[in-house]
Amino acid sequence: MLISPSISEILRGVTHEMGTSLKQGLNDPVKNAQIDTIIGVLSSCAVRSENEKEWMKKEVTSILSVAKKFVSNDHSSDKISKALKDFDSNESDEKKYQSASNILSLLGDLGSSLGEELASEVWSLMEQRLQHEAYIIGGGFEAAGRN
Amino acid sequence: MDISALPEATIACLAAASEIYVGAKVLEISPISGGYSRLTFKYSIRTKNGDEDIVLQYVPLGATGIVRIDRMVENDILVYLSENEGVNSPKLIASDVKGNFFDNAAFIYKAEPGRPFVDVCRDTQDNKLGALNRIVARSAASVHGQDIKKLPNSMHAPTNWEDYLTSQIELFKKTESESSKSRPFLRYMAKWLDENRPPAAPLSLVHGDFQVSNMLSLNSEKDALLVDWELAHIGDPREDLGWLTMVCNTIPPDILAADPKGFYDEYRAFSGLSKEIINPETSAYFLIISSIRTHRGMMKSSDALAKDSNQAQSVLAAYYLSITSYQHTMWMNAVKIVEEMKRSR
Repeated sequence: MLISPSISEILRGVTHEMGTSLKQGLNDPVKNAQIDTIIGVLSSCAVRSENEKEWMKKEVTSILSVAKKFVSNDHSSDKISKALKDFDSNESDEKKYQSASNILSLLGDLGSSLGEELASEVWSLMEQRLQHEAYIIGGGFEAAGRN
Repeated sequence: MDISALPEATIACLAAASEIYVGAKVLEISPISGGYSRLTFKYSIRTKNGDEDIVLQYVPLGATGIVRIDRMVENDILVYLSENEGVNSPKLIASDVKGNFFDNAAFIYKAEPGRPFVDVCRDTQDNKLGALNRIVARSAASVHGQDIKKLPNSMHAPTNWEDYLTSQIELFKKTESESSKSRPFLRYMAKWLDENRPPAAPLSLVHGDFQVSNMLSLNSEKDALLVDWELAHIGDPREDLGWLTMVCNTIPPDILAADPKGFYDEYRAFSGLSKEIINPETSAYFLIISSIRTHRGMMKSSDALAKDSNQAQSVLAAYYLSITSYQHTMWMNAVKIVEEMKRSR
């Protein structure tokens, strides 16, 4: 299998060409916005292809750690205990990530009842996920055709 | 409907609304950019009374925007705004909600001689942007100052503020439960919004997409015309201020940041609402609330793409992922703002 250039390198090459030679001389603002939209999508895919697996594992580890701490601290949530048990039945990274996301949602449902320390840890989990999402979209966001 | 057929349909629609347009001719057509789900054109036309410019907004058949729009409600609010003083908005000349002349909804307005307000803002030096945000503040206050009892019957009127806010928070939960995947940001925000409810505000007309891109600077440079009312509804006035904050943060120039105090002072003076109700903290809260409708539409679109990659508008659906991620950032920042302000009290 050919793995070089990598998926992200190919996508970056394509977006570069779209943003330069393809856009040159294009006076139609609608077509320009459409190309900007496609460039935005492909750029995000490039970042995801490079980092997605690693980030998913990182987030899963952090979420499970907080959830186990929550359960071991005698907090009563049957839903979280069950979700932790269910997590082990998942085989693929994607399913594990979805299962961990469900646990994070359950922790989020508890809000301030988690207590200050655990609530702060759940907030950190949300920030970790946000950091990855922000990296995927290049830090900020530019509305295609609007800037 | 092919766009080449639009001029003929436009004249037919106008002629049905007023006799002066019978036999009118389209002299010139200029497309106007903006809007993802509909096409906008400026037509110069010759009528038996002379030449005039009109604006056509046409929703192509099958076009799907992020949010489902009830065009009848849109038509009713446009008629209301055209007939009532108080809000600077384009005058509706004719409309075709049922597709009698076009194959789908179309609205025809009198063209106003002004510049896009966003262009005026971009051409203004940073230290003078503050003065422009007073215009925006007054425009928002004029919308929110409408008597909701006089609004069209087709507009859904919530029973009370508490129930309305609850229904908006429920939308976060509903969006998540309808999604094929667990969405922690939606669940987290639903709980946080419920635990941090702001003081109640009088229910009001809400524009729904209140931003400088939807304003037209009139020749006087003192006031602006507010366009694109398709998301108008009755709700909390701070939804518009929250959405404005979100868009100002996203698309430069940020005229709110240029002078926030000036903006809020002006808005409070014109709306009569107190500092307890109108402030950056409540705007941050409603930044989150106001974005759930678009977020919901984008989530649905992304989920549909995951199920069927051959669906129409796949690029847009994939692009929405970036917007939803950006909204997550804005939501988390808004939570931080509210929490920090609470701590500082």
